[in-house]
Amino acid sequence: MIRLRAISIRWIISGVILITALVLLGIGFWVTARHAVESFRRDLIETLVQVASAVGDYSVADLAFGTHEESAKNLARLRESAHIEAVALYDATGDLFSDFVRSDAQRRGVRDRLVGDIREEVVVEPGFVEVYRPLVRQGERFGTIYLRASTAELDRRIAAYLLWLAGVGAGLVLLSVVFALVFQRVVSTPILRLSRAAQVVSSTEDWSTRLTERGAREVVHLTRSFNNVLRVVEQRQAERDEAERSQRRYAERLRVLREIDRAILEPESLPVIARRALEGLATLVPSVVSAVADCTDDHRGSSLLAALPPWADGPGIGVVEAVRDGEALASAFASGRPVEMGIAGDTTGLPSSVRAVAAAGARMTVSFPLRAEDLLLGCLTVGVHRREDLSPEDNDTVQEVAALVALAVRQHRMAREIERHTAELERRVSERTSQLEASNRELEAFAYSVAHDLRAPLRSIHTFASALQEDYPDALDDAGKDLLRRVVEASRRMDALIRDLLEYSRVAVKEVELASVDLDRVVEEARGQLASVIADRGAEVAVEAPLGRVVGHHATLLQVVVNLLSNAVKFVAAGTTPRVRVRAEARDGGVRLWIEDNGIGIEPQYHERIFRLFERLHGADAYPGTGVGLAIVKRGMEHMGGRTGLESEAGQGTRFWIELPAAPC
Amino acid sequence: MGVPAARLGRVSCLAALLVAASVAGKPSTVADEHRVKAELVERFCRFIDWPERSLGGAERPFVIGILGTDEVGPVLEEVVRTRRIQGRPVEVRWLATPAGVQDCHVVWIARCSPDGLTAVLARTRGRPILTVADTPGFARAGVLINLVRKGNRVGFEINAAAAKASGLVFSSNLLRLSTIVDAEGGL
Repeated sequence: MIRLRAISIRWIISGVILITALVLLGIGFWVTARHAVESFRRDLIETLVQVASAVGDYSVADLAFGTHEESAKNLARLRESAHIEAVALYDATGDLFSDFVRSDAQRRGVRDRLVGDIREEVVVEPGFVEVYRPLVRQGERFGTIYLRASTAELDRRIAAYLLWLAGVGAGLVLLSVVFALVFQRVVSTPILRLSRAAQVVSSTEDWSTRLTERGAREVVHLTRSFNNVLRVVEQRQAERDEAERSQRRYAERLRVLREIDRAILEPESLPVIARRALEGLATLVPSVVSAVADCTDDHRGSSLLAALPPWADGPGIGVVEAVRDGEALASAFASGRPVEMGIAGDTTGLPSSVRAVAAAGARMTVSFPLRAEDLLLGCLTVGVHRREDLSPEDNDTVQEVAALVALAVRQHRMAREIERHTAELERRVSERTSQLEASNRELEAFAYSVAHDLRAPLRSIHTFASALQEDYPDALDDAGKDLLRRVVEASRRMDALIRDLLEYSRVAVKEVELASVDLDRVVEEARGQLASVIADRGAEVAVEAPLGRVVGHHATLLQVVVNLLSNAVKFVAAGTTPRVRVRAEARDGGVRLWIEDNGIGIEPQYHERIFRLFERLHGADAYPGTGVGLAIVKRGMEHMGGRTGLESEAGQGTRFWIELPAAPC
Repeated sequence: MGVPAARLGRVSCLAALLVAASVAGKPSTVADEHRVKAELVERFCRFIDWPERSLGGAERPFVIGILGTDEVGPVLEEVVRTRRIQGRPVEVRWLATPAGVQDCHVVWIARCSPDGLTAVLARTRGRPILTVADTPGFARAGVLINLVRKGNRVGFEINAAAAKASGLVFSSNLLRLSTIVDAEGGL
């Protein structure tokens, strides 16, 4: 099975013409042949009928008058008509009257007698035609004529005619083939040319192809449309390519600018940043050389930060030379436009930087100011072959890079400034700190010595007053005794205060060595120390052992726990049995030890204050104390690198906690 | 003579026709010869056209006159009585004298004297009246058709000049089968 669409248009046209011609010719041949055969046959029959009629008319008299011989002679005249095989006359009764038979072999159609009513009749059989014709004269029937003719001649003529017709048909087919070929050449060749061109264009994507417009009018239109389409496609393609290139340049520019941004953000030195900026710029702009130079704040000095390709000596290129005369540079950039400088002729005797630029092939330098917050920080210079090499877009690119570099320069200058300020500040802080520490140490030493030295006279007061009370009970009246009692009491209180202060100082000042401490042991020792107090108050202390081990200082930790435990037992409303619960919980690599009571509680606004030295919330009458215990707790914990805190509401009991790193087991 | 005629008159028309056809022109007996002659006369009427004015309307009979008496006359009457000639019924008139011949279309001239013939022809000459006789020499005398015996069959002579003058149109077939007599009758 041939797929129609795979066949070229040339063969389709030729085929269609050929098939059409063949079909039409076939129909024509059939119709003509049929008509011709019919017509030949009809002519023969008509002729035979006429002959029969004429001979019959002529023979009526013979029948009428019984002239047999005359009749036979008459009929014999038909010998001249070669196709007539036999003729016979029958009289009115149907008997054979006379006949003419060309040969004995042809006698077979001639019967001796006709039976029945013979009407005019034509019998067409293969090979012959028979005619029967009644002979009537003036209403009276005299007999019948029978005539038989061979159709061999007719068939020969028909065959010859059909042969001729077929010849004509074949000629016409041949003519139509020739016509098809010519037609195909005239019509299909330009279309095929178009088709081939379309194939070539689609495979090579060469949109610049154009076809000459020739051929039939429609083909010319088609060719013109094809050319137009190609033109439009070419144009679109060019626009798209340009857009793509522009897009790519834009993306590349963004990428380079981002690289520069990143370089600025990285802790790189300014020359490194400047060099990277130039390297990036070189990929975007057709420069042969480029350089960045910065100038001092007063524009009186400059230095080359980076150059591409790098050269060793010389402070800068092009206009950077003018930075030596900073005011000139400032005024040059005052217009806001880049400063251009041409290099022409012999460069001997010019600065080495200019020679380097010239050697690189640049004949023109364009310098862009590095500007930040209205400050001229330096310049970025690119060297090009011609001014036209820098498109407006390139100009923008260089300006953007210059802005970034300016930012970097500005940032570095500010960073230097900050570093300078910071160093100054740190110097001052450490100075002050050492001063403070010295004075603190002096103060603490002073306080310690004072406290220590104060204790001896206080002991004497206490001892002597006690001796007076015991040894001379009657020397004083009751008022005197009361006064003496107050003296003893006050001296005792003062002693406790001094003792606590000394403790506090020791905790604050003494260097401690941290080690693994068993909290269970610490709590047990603390309970031992406070055994009498606990017993006096009838308190219940529940310890949820094991509490674990922490990194700390045993003595300091014991002091802290004693203070917290005694507070827990002490600050309980009158008539209430103190109930204390001690437990520990793991917390972020540390251990938090909770000491919870059912005491009077502490209002949240006092949670800070209670840790300060000498802070007391209650009168000494209600809850005796020195106001130093919690200060010691806080100091001790801080000294060991731990923390302390509480959760409490008035009347809700208090839950103190201390936290230290957990000791490895 | 009348016996055979009467006998024949009883036979059917078809039988008469068949017999007539079978024997036409080939009489084998005397009676057959009379019949053949009668048939011939009737046949002549089939091959001759009379002008329309002489025939008159379609309802007018075709008149056959029999002048004189012979054996053929009654047979002729017998033959034509039931037939139609020229599309008309046939009327047979027995003529004793030539006086009535001009009203006939066909006149059978039986045995006749030369004077009598002259009288008849004087009346028929130039008129569309077919005169038929069976007397030798009569054609030459001016009778249009004269039956003659040729061997064993009956032929006929036609006086072409008289036929032409009569205004009757003779079929070429008839002429082909006849003997043409050129000479004009002496009378």
